[in-house]
Amino acid sequence: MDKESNLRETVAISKSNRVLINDFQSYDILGFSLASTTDIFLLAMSMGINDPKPLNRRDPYSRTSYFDTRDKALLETPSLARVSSDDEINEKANLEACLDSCEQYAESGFQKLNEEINSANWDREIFERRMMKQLDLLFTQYVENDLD
Amino acid sequence: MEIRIEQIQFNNYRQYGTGVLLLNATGEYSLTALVARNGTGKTTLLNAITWCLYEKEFQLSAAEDALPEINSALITKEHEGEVIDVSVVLIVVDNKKTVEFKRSKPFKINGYGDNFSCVPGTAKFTAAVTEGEGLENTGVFIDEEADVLAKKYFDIAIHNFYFFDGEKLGEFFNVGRTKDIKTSIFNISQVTLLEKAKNHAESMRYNLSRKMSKDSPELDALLQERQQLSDRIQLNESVRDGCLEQISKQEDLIRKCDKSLKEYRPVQKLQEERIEKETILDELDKQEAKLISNRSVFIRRNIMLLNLYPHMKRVLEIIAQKEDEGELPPSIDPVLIKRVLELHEKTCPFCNGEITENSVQHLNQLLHQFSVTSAASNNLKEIKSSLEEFVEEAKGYKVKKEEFTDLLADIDSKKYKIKQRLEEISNLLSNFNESGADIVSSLEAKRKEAIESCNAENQSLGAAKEQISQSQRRLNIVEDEIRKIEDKKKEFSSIQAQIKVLDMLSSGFEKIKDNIMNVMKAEISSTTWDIFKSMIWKQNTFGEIKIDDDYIVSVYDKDGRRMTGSLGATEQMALAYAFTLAIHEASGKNCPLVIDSPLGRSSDDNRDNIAKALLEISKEKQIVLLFTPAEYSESVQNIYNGKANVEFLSLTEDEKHIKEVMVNGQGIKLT
Repeated sequence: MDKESNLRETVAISKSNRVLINDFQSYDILGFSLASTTDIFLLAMSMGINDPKPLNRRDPYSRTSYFDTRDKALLETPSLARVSSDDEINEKANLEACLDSCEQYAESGFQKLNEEINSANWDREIFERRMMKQLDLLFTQYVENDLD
Repeated sequence: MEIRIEQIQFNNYRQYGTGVLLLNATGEYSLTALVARNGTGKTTLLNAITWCLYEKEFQLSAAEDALPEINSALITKEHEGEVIDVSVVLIVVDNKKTVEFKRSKPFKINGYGDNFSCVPGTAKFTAAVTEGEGLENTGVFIDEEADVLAKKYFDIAIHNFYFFDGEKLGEFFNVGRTKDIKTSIFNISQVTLLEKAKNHAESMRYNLSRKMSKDSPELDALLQERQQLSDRIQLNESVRDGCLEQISKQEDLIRKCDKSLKEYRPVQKLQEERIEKETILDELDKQEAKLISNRSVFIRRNIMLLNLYPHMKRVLEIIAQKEDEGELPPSIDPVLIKRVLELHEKTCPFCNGEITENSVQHLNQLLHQFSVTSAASNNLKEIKSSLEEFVEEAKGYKVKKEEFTDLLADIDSKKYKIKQRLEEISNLLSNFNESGADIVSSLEAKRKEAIESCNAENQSLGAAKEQISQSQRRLNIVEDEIRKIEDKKKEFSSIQAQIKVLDMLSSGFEKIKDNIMNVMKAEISSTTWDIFKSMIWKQNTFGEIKIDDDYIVSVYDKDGRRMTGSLGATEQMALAYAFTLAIHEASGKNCPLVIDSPLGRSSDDNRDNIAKALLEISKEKQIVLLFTPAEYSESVQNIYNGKANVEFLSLTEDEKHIKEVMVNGQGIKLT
């Protein structure tokens, strides 16, 4: 049976995150004003990848059909990276099987975004500068050694 | 069907004394031109109309020092002790209906000179509406009811779109008029009722919530906070609007100083250089904003890529390992092998041979070897190349980041140099001391002051906007909290249901209002553009007219550049006329236009174009133009002769009355 045909219609976020997303959009922080729902979901998911959190009042956010092949690779990545057996590979190499976790990572990511922007007092410049510093650290930690 | 002013009757009113101005034109064009020297009664006519309708004379230069409405010839010894009635009657014809607006105000003459007074409590405003003919069909409305009727025809909120001074049209869009324009569109869209309904629904909702909050102090505190936040937002919105108006005024002043400096030959080159540098600075600001915006997207993308980087690497390792083991793709699907073994099939689906005990052993070995299913294998193959690309992109983070930093630094350095040169130019102009050229330093000082003021207003504007956003954010959170508490209070389900309906109504009203306003704005923009094109002689310069979200009316050239600030005086006037007429059209009421000095600031071809356009418009709409003799030039006369009804007004010897003038049953008839 093609498991993809059982793919849910939407991915959800907690209802309270709508306010945060709207504010990010109206301030155009991180280019949110022109970002798609899939971009926003993937960003939040990546930020919460180490600390999944359950959703509070589920609110459908983005249609799964809006995710393209490249997005699907990113959505499956967190679950596939954690497999420890072939059975788990067979289970997780499938988008539907990864989406529950993705929603929980995104929930955690939204909470982090909220904390970061509040600590920057909703100042876009301060927030983005801090984000760049974090990116520099991540780059040094994960990528620098891989460069030729 | 047009709405016409047929007559204006005066009773002891200013220099019009007692008489009637007949405007019942019958030709193809419904245009009346009254030509009079300044001080003869042109502006007084405009004031008579607005006094009658609104008890206000908007065109008085200093209302507090102005003489009262009574004709000054009546303030004499011989009238001492008399009560004299002053009134103006406006007879308006709307299809088969005649509306007679009358404002009267009795004055008591106590003696010669300034010794007169209005008789308290006796001023009156009436509107008599007659449908068809005969007194039995007449209904009379008094005071507030008459005000309602006057508002229906000539809403005071947009009076300056019906009765105005053409000489002031040049400033129509420059001097912080956005609020007026927003109000006009608001009124014309007739969304006031929606606004009231929304406010009413919100107030009902608030009361219901208060009722629910009696048992919950937490909810009560939240409701109070919500009210405070709403008040704060409203207050800051009015600060924001005030700042926008001030900024617009100061920008207008800067433009005027720039223009004057550019016209003064000794500093012309410096001023031209300044304008050029400022244009470059603007362009650099735009580039910088775009770059910062692109950098924001870059940061967002890299937050995603770098956070996922170790995970993507791990997945690629798993895929590589499986590939090395020859499992991607598997030559035999383990799902199929499992099924053969579980169902104890007798024939092998792969080779069609009989399945023996040895075969079962072999299949078990295969199952161990090919543990990844075809579906999983295909999936991993599919994501592999995407992940490889993402990993490569993440590796480019540092280089790309440096590119952004370099580009921004480059712009910054260019901006710094330009700002330095602009400072030098400003100093040169401030200290310009050629004999008789104090005007330069004075203009430069004014300009500097306007820029400083503009900067200060911009800071206040930013602070007000920030306050609005902060309050709005907190309001969203508070509303969410309130909703949560209200949701929990199941026992209040009936009140909850009512609150929900009121919420829906309130947001529905708001949405409908916004939609109507937007449609109306688009319609007015498009009509303004059509009329503007017909009034100007340049046909290859202008490309479009837009009314933006802040209700600023702007003209764009063919290349999409905003050029409202570069319009000549006549073009500004044409824009104002076009906008006014568009407002009329959008209002759905074909009301008359009464314009004092209609061509005041225009010249040459554009003057004739505007005169012609007004004549053309008078085929559909009554227009009354109040000219000075100089303004009513030969070329305008040639356009209007034989088509418009033209009358020349003058004063009597004692300069206290207008002389009677009647031509073809039209004009001023004194009684």
